[in-house]
Parts: sequence; structure tokens; C-alpha cells
Amino acid sequence: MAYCVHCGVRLDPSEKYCPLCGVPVLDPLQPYQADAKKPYADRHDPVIVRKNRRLTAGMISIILIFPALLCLAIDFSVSRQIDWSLYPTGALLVLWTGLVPPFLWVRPSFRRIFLPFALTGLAYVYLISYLQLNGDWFLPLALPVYLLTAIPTGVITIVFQRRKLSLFYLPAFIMISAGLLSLAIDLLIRSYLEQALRPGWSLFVLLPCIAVALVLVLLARRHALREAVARRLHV
Amino acid sequence: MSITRRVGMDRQALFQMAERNKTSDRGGRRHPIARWYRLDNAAKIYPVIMRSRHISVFRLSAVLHQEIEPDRLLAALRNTLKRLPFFAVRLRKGMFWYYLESCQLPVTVEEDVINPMRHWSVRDEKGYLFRVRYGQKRIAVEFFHALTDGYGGLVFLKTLTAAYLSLGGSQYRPGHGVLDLNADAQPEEMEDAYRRYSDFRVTRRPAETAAFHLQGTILTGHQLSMITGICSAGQVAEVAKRHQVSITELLTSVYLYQLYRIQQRGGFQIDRPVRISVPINVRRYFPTRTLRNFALYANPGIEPALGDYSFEEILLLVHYFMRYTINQKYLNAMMGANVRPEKNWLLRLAPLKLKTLAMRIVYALVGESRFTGTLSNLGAQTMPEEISGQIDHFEFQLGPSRLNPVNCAVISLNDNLTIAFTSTMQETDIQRAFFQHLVELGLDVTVMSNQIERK
Repeated sequence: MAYCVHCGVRLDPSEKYCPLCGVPVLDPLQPYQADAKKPYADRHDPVIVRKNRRLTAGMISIILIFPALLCLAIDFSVSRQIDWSLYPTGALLVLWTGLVPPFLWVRPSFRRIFLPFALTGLAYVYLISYLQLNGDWFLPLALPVYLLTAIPTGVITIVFQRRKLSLFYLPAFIMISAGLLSLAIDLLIRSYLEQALRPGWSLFVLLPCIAVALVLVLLARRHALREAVARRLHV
Repeated sequence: MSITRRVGMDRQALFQMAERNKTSDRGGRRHPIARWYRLDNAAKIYPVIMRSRHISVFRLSAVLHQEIEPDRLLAALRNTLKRLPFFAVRLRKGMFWYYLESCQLPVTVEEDVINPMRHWSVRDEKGYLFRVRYGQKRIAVEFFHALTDGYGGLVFLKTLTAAYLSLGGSQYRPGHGVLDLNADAQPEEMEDAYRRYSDFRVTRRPAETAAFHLQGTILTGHQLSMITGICSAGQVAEVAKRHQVSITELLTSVYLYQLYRIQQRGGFQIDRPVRISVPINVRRYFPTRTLRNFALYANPGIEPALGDYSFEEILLLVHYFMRYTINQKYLNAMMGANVRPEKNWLLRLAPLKLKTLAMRIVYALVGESRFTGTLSNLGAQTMPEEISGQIDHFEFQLGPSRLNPVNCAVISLNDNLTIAFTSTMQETDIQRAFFQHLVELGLDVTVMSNQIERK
């Protein structure tokens, strides 16, 4: 058995480096032997967190379908036709497409979860504009606002999933996106109302967002603080 | 003799009556032992505070001189469970408390792994609260702490190892913690001794402020760094004698001193007290045959805010602190403080969810945040002479905990004293400092590890 030249402890023959300090075995008379038996096993025990996903999906479905059916039944029994109950039913359907697919897919991905949710949401907005008699606001206002919101959300999700940005720059990115989004929505509303195209209320959102984002970037650049946050918030 | 005289019957009649009581107190069932058990006082906290990086599990292994045969080990395990049926239980949730329920699932032995005591969802898996693993020459058992403490676990491991060796043809006489496989299970072996011995004359819980915690880079993927040092128990005892302290006190002082030095070097939390939690097996002070939890904790420590400490000072402090704490009177006061809330009707009637919340808050205030590390010493163990030579050494390891990434556990057998560090942290500063200090004290330490990849 060799001794660690740094720590002074005797090393098990299976150790190539001292496990305490990392210094390699430096004993010409007793060099490290790769075939020495290790004291502990090599097999890694995978950590599986099992969840009953189908059951969760079923429970959510029941909770959402029941009020929708109730609304439809009440609406129909009172007025012998279906009108107002389409609003809550549609909203519950949007909620369902948002909540349930993550539990149904074995490998949930961006396309499988976000796209159906975004599309049903858009369809629901169209449904509202269709049910209202003066529904001419869908194309000029609702569609662009919806797309403007959906696109940054999608981009942020992709950035988050693919780990393009470190977790510390991500909040800064989200803040900047939120500020720019409010600016764009502000301008859109002004153009719809045929007002002069200059930013109004959105400046009050944009400027604090930029300030917070800058603070976040500064914090993210401090290594010690990042370590402290990572240590306390690691999952 | 005085008892027999008082009740006016001879000794034999008394034992007969005790036997009759034993079988009749469960309504004449075939099994003399109940089908479900309350958690004992200490065990109540463990299911509540369990998280993915904090599971109260410990692992005991016996390393033999021969390769382990899994089939034989499985047969030995079945025999052991016949003798210790109250280990064959699973954890269930009641309306007001968790409880243990007898369980007939098939038992298994698993191959050993590099990351033992990993996140183990005993609440969800609804399986046994122990796991038996085998390595090349190693029999290892991992216990969830709600089931038993180090002493009970050791009785299980010793009985299992002896049963394994006896299936290979070795004869032995039970004793030294090895149970007789042919005897029946005794109800006294599963009593809650905390309840029996707390007299509530005075209850006391030491007032402690938040302690210093080691910090470092957490290992990814639920890995566990195991670094184990083996030295001669005789040599360690000699060094301890030279300093006029016990082995536990010596090792605790070394651990405390090195943690203190790392704290002062690190430049953070330098004024926080450094404390070590030392579990005490109180069976010595309150005689019982229980194999459930029956341990209390002494937390010797130093306060760096008061000034610099030398190793000799720390030795003295630890020595006298232990003398002050570990005696029947003080231990009883500590025990009473733990048991008293359990007797309160209001608390007992609170639903489990509410209790869980309250217990988590209490644990945050008086639990792991109050100490820097744990040093658990199971002491010098013996095995029956006939089979003692077939076992090389015992090993005792503690599971990962959330606030304190490094824990230390000590046990010795046949002059092999094993000091096992388990850590969820990449840095090995404290392990190195600890073993280097032992080398400086003149001990010959052999170090081995599970060689995980550090980035």
C-alpha cells in the first residue's frame, strides 16, 4: 500500500489518486495497479421519481369537464339554445389544453404542449369576437396582440429548455421581453384607435423592466452571489 | 425476590402469569405481536422532514473475508426476519400520525451501488424500511431511521451476518448482539422506551443558536462521496488515553477543531458557533431491550465569537460537556422535553397535515440548523468468537442531510476502527483535514473511497 505524499495517509490499492487531496500515487515500489479490487461497487442506482401521470390527467379532466357540462345544461334548459355557455366552455377547453398534455405525453416537448395551447387560445379569442355582434376587433387588434404575446413566450420557453442562457440571465431576458412587449402593445392600441404613434403608458413599464434587468445582469456577473443562489436554490 | 414476596406467589408462577399476559393482551391472536405499531417518539420526526436531499437513512455493512453468495444471503435474511418480524413493516399514513404496518411483500437482496442511501421515497414506495445489498465481500443494510436507530440496526446486521455464516456451516453461540434465530420475537424488543422512562419531573432542551454550516459545490445526479479511513482501534484508544478522553471525545474534538479551522479560513459565518451532534445510545442509562429508536443527542461546540481556540482547549470543552450532559438525570430531562408534546391532547388531535407543518417548523428551529455536522460512534463491537474471525470490519455510514453536506460515522470491530465520511459535496477539505490531523496524532490511517468523478 502506497502513502499519499501530501496527506500522509495510507491509500487503498484501488486508489489511483488520493481521494482526500487528488495527488496521484507516487510510489515507485508500489505503483497503482488498475486491477486492484475496489472497496465499493461501481453500479449507479438511477433515481426514478415515479408519478401516476394518467391519474392526474384524468382528475384534471373531470374537474374541468364537469362545470362545462353544467353550464351547457343550464343554458339549454333555460333558453332552449346555447349562447352564453360557450364562453365558460371555451375557457375551460383552453385550460384543459394547457394543463393536461404535459401529463399525457411521455416525452413532453415544446411543440406538443405549447402549440396546441396557443392555437386553442387563439381559437377562443376568435370565438368571442364571433359571438359578439360588433366583433370587428379580431383581425386588427386581437390577432396581433395575441401573436406578439405568444412569440416571446415561445422564445423564452425554447431558451429555457435548450439552456441557451444561464438561469441567471434568463430573468433579465424575460424582463426585457416584457418591457418591449408592453411597448409594442401600446403602439398597436394607438394605431387601432388612430392616435399618434408614440409610446405612452408603456414607458412606465419598459423603464423599470430595463432597470431590473440591468440589476439582474450585474448580479449574474458576480460569481460569489451566483454560487450562493445556485447553492440555495438548486433542484 | 421482593416482588415475589409482595404478590405472594413463587417465582415460577410469576413467570407463568407473565407468559399468559403476553399472549392474551392482543385478544388471543395467533401472533403475540401487534400487526401495526406506533412510531416511537424519535421516529415521528423522520418521515416528516424527508426531502430529496435529506432522508434520514443510515447504512451498516459487514465486510467479510469471503465473497458473498446472494442466494445464501436471501435465505439468511428470511431467517432473520422470522426472528425480528417487526422489521418487516412499511410506513403508512394515518389521519393523525404515521404508523408502521406489518407487510408481507417478498424480500429481496440487491447488488451494491456507488450511490447508496439515495433519494428513497419510503412514503410513496410502500415497501420495507430497510434495504439489504451485497457487494463483493460486503453485506450492507440501509435502514430508514423511523424503523430503528444505530443499535437496533446493528443487532439486525449482526444477526443477519451470523445467519449468513451459519448457512455456510459455521456454528456459533448467540450473544454479543447476535440474536438466537430459534427464539421467539419478544414484544419488549419493540417498545417505545422514551415513553416508559420520561418522568417529566423537569424537562429541558438546551437553548442553542444557529450554527455554522459547511458549504460547497453540490454533487450532481444524487451522487454520494464516501471516504472511509480505517485505523487500529488500539492505537486510537492509546492516543485518547494519552489525552485523558474517550475515543468519541477525541474524534469529536478533531472534527470540531478542523471544522473550526475551515470556518475561520473560509471568511463567512465566522462568528457562528461550531457544533457537532453526537448521538448517545441511552440504553446504558435506561435499561431496555428495545430495538426501536432509543437515542438522544449531545451537541458539544465552541463559539468562535468569544476568541481563538486551541485543540487542547476543545478537547477539554468536549470532555466536560459530555460529562455534564450524559448522565441519567440530564438525559431524562431532555427526553421529557421530546415526549411531552406527544402527550398533549390538543396536539394529538391535530390532523397529520397540520402536525407535519408544525413539526417542520420546530425542526427548522431546533434540528439540523443547530449543528455543523454529526459524528455518530457505535463504539467497539464484538461478535461471537466462533465467527468473529470471518469478518474483516464493520462500516457505518450516515445518509445525506440538507444543511450539513458532510457527516461522519464511526464503528470498530476486531481492532479495525472505521471512520466513514459521507458527503454530498465535491470539496473534501474537511475529510482531508480530519485524517491529516489523525496522522499528526501518530495514527496510521488507510483511506479508501468510492471514487466518484469530481468535476
